[in-house]
Amino acid sequence: MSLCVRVRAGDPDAFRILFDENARSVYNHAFRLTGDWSMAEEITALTFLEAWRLRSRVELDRDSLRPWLLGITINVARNVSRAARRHRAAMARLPALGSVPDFADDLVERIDDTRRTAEVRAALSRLSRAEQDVFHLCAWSGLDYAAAAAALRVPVGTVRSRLARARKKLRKIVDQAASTELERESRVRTTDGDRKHAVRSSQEMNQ
Amino acid sequence: MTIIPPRHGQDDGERLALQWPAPPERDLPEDRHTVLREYLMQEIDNRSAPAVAPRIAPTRRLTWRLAASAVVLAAGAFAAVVVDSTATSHTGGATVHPATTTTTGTRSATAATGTDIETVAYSIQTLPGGYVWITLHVHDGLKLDIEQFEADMAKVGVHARVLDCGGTTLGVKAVGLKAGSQPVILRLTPQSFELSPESDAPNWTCNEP
Repeated sequence: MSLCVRVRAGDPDAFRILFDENARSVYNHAFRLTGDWSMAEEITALTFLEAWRLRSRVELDRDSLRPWLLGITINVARNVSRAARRHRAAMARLPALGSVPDFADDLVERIDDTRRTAEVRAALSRLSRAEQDVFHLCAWSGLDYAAAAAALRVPVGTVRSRLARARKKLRKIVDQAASTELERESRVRTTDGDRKHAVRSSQEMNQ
Repeated sequence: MTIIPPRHGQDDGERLALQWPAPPERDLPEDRHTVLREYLMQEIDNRSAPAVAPRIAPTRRLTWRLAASAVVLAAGAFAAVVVDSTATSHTGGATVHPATTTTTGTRSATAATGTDIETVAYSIQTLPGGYVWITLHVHDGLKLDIEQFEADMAKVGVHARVLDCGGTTLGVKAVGLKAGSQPVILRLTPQSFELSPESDAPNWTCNEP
């Protein structure tokens, strides 16, 4: 019996396998969505609770349940408080997470991830939510259009057009940033040149 | 940001991935992976099971939460605590010696690997990866036999000193520990469940700190 069938039937062992195979993907996807490793743990827990709640929606012909889980992750991350309310009793039982200090090297790397991700997320914030979703699924989680469409429950053509728009907008953001940088450098050079000229003139005058 | 010219056959997703590379993937730390998975399984178990009568009639449900700030965890050890929804209040009473309890519980121990110890007061189960899952069942009129509990944990490589500060009433469902890690102290009080490496808390008593 396929994992999809077992998950849909509510087989606990299937959920154990589902968790073992996909927790890492969900956790990293949650981090990219939020830029916060601690929150990513909470979202991971909520995502699998939601998966259990929504198991009857699993489509039986899927090769992988990863897209379905990543779609749930997006919804949970978008409204953590609503998901937490829905699973209030369970969340009260959630073991304390993120309170264990990581090894120093790992911690430094994770802080660095957070900083780098914040820069990209600032650019992504200029996309619509729908465009951000397809960016996360297709560019960062490596789903193809069909899988992203299944995750978001939209037609494949919609994924394609949203991604094209996202790419166009991001290209524009990069161009604007490059243009601003060029202008800034140009101003610095001009100011620098003026200063040298002024210094030279002053020296010439003294002579 | 470098603009990379599209290659023939690349779709927008692949181009975006090259231009805006994802942050490197990190593992969910192994201990947290295990904790979160067992938490999920427990929740599924809770939701799947019809409302069943507890093994020993409860008097009331307790709401309990882990005081995260009070939990000090050793590197290499992990803890997960889940409320037993059938937790009951504790009124003290006779000590139940797990080894001799046969009316409401069973006791069994198998080989060192995969050892399972089941008593009326607790069960100890080994998990893959060297983890040990300890479940406490505490009910009215029962008191934990601390010495036996410590000895049973030691059999599976968990060296723990248990401080029973009247707290075996919580209905604490489970605590996960790494076998072979440094000795730990488990302190049970009516309000909290605390775990610390013994080296960090050599002076812990029921009142201190």
